[in-house]
Amino acid sequence: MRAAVSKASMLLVSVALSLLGQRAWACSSCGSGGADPVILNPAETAKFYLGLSQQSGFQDIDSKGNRQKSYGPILKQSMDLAYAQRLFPRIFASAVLNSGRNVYGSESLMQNGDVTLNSRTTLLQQNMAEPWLPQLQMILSHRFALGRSVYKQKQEHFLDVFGAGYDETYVGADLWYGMSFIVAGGSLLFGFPEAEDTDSGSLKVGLLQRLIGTIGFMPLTEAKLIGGFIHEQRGGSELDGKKQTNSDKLNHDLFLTAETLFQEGSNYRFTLSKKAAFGSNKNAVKADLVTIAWMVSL
Amino acid sequence: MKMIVLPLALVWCLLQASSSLGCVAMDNHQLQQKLLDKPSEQLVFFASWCSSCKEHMREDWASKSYFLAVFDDQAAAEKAFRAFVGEKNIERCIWDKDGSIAAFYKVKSLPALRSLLSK
Repeated sequence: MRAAVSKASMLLVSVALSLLGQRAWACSSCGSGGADPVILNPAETAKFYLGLSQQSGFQDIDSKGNRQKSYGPILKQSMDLAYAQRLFPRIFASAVLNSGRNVYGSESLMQNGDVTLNSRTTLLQQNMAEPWLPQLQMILSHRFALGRSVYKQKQEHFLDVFGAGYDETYVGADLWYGMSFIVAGGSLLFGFPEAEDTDSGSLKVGLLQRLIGTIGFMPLTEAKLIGGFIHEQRGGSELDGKKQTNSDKLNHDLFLTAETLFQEGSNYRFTLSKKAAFGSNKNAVKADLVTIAWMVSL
Repeated sequence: MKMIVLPLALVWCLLQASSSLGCVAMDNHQLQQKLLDKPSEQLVFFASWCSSCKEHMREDWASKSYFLAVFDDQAAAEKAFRAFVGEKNIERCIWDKDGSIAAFYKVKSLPALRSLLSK
């Protein structure tokens, strides 16, 4: 009974504090790990981002959804360096550089990963006079496959795999309700991969569809707590124009993010993600991911 | 010819009239001139996307404040101003057209207040 009362009072306090929630910036994919990590609010012209993450608890999931012991690294650590610059009042661009460290037993290897260029265009900005209208942003990104991929790896246990292996262009939209005490939104991204020459032939993976759903609240005036899911689906691969059977992918991830929203100085973001955490998953990797990020407006 | 010129002139007049009824676009030089001509006690900086700015967009402050929309679209700022400070005070609303006002008053976060009373 006491526990129930304690939980209820905590909930009430949270709701009361959440009434202080107040700013429209941010987005539904911010902190999800499913899109560009650094976002500028309308008053910011540039921002620097440093994200450190660690993945562990890997399990491979085959085309039938069965879990198997992972062959790859037991630990993957990565560092994202990003810089965002406002180009026009409603458009900003960012570049994300990635480098990582893979660990298997006593062996480890450090290398650079892929590079991503992103842009966001705010088509509709929220207005305090019309809080029922959402913020709508258009996302355009391109990933350059610079890191060594699974198709060109040479070391056992994929220790030298740091990249996706193919360039991919992403187009999508991000819808966000950030003016009320409950914040919520959704993003839909489509990925258009390019064919890549591998030792086995010309490989073209299928089109990507990624849906991110987010809901949360602001427990403090300058902090945001959000959670959500990522549904990701990719069509089957083609090798030299021949369809590879059972190569389509399906992923369902969960994430929880706490983020500070100070307007001046540094901000911090802490994210917990579970890859392939629920629903059906095919040709996926189950993993636990922790990310800590530091951002500073310039 | 009259058939074309008259409607165009009418539209131009309407556009001029509507723009004069909204938040006036100014740069910092123009604002400083206005403050010399019509002094005020304080400057209230706001943006339509900053809902916490509502706290400072008070109708009873209109007589002693200029409300400065920064980092914002002019039309969006006008909409927010009308909703919270009121149509009748629209002449107290100024839109920072080139960012020079926010830069001059070192406004990096919103909402922001700057007192103009001499200490």
